[in-house]
Amino acid sequence: MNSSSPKHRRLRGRFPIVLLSSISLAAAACGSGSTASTPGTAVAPSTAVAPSTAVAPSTTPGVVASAAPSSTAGATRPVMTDEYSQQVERLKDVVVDTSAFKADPPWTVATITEGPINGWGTIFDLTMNTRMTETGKFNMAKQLYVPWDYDVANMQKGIEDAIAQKVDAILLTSMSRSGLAASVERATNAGIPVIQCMAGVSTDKYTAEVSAPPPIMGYDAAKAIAEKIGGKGTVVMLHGIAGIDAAELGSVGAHAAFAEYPGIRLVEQNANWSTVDAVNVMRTILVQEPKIDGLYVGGFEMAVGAIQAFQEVGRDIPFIGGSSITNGFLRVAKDLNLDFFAVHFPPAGSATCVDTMVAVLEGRPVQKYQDVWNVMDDVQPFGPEKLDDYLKPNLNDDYVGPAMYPDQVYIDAGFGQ
Amino acid sequence: MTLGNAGAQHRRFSRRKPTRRDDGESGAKVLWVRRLVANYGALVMLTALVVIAAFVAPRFFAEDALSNTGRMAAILGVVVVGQVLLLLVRCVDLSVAAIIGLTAALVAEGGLGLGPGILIAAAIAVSVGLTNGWLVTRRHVPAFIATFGMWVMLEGARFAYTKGGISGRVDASLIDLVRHQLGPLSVPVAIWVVVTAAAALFIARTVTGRRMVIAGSNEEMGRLSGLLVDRYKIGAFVVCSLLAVLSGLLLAGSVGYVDRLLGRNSELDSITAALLGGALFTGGEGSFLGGAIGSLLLASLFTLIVLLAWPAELQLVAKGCVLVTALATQSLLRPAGTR
Repeated sequence: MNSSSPKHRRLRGRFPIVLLSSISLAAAACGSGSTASTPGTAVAPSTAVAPSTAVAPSTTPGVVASAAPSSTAGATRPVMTDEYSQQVERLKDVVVDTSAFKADPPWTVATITEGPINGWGTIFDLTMNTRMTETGKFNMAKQLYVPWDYDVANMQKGIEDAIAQKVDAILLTSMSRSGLAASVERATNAGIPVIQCMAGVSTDKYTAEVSAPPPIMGYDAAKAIAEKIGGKGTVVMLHGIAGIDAAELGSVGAHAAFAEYPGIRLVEQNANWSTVDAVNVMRTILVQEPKIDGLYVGGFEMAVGAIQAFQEVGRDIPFIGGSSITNGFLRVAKDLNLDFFAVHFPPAGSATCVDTMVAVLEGRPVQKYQDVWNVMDDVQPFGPEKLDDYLKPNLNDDYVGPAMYPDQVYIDAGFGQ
Repeated sequence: MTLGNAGAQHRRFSRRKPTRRDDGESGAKVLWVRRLVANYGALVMLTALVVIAAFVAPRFFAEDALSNTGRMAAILGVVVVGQVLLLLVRCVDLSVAAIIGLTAALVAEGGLGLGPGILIAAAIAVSVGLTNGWLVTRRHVPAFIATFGMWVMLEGARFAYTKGGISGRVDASLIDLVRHQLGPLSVPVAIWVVVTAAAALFIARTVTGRRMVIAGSNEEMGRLSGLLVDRYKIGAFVVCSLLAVLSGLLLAGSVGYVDRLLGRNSELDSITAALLGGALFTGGEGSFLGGAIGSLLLASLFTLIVLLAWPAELQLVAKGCVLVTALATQSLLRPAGTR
């Protein structure tokens, strides 16, 4: 065949496309088996600091041992093998001397948060700003506020801007543990205390963290489902946005729990913390799965969508377990008398973060890591028996509790019915 | 000339010498097949996908699955009609996703009410379409940039309107209407068929429609011939925005719930489906039937991927591969003398 013939040129033209497609599919297929879909798989532990020698090995994949209290009061907490859980275990007993950060109020701070992309983010910001105002020690007019807006680069830039403006402190809700580690280290090196709030970074060079560990939330919720269904059956898992730490870490914990029950078969999809996406995904899953025994959600807004899909086809709604409970789900659960297990991921934790920031700027020692389940009231997991304690009939579906302020505060912020 | 494929008449002079295969009866048959694939490459991919589904996911053909797929294709397909219309006149609209989201917010419970919400959404759509058209025709802003800026602005407007309260239930009457069945077809599918047929007839059978295609094929020639090129573009922007409102109503009624992510990615999906249907960024070519098949391809791909329980990363790669392959195959097989 003449190498310059039209047919040969067409074949050469198609080759790169076929090659690229094949490589991409192969890469994705090889990569897809190595992360959250494998029960108990964890992110590699940090090599910056050696793991605590006080933790003994466990027989459960992804779980190291039982140690500190879990989200359930009085119970022992399993320690996961993922990098975040190892970091928490390493630092939970560390007390930080903050005398070097002492400054006179009013303080100018940077708040770099998830932002008002959903009810959780909006209430987080509301609680944070209200608490800051209540203390009377912050210069609210000069507060540098940077929302995530689905782009970690915004947060990186926010930290750089905060360093340039020499703020007194940074309050950060990291949306990427690895993506923001270097920025946090730069801020710390610049002498600015970084208080991590409800999420952290994969470096120990920060000042303090107040959080609820997503792996534990996922573990507890999945464990409740597994025990409720007797350790066998089909469980559908709806995760948040793929690649986001909160979704991936929660999935790690959930898989670790389900790994303890070999009789449970998992069907997983990402529903992006969206009720709308959950409806579309669940409609298709229901076609494929004739029997679903349990539903795990990485956020209860997805449960609302899933429930609707079940109702459309007249199927019984299974036991639901998950974290970050919304008022919308509580309303539906009450109307339909649903059985569920909900683990709090309280946006009101931002108030504790502000209190910690105040302590740092006043030079008082603080815990390197604080678990909100240990320091906040009324944040223990619950089921239908406590539904009415948390349901707010005069607030809309986006509201995420528990409440720190009177309902009118949330109504004024846009959460009214 | 096939319905909706008016651009085939207006072929540019090709510099490529005809090959032997272009001569004779067998050459004509090959040319016909190539044109079929070029114009309906999405149909080829859809057929392949259906065949694959028959082997790996038989539940793809369950009544519920087909109904879900059809509904998703219809909701996207309505917007695709608008995008094909725009691509015929060398434009594109990225603001459709924002219009869909804003429409859903306006008709959500606790808002303005269904009737007023629809009217205001339509009024906003007309304003947006006129503004987009003015920016493109009078200020000579590239359509991509003008409509992207409009998208950002509308997202901010939606935030301001909802005051951050970004989710809620949809008016029950809208849900009942959208979920109603008209014989074998759901309401979204029926509306989709009507809109697609109306658009195809308009382009193929009306003077204005054919002039739009001419104007898109060669804008300079169109102007010199006295065609109202700018008006056609502005009209196409307005129609596309109104179709986005219709799509938003169908989507909100279908899901029954509104959140911040409703309508997300519909701008890219609608453009992709239009391109799969044979439309070109260079204007003058496009098939509404092809766009409809493109919508069906995207919806079927989503259904198959979820049925196979593929993880998110594999979903994106697979979607990209299918789209690139379909578009590349179309482009390579487009007969000489056509763009």
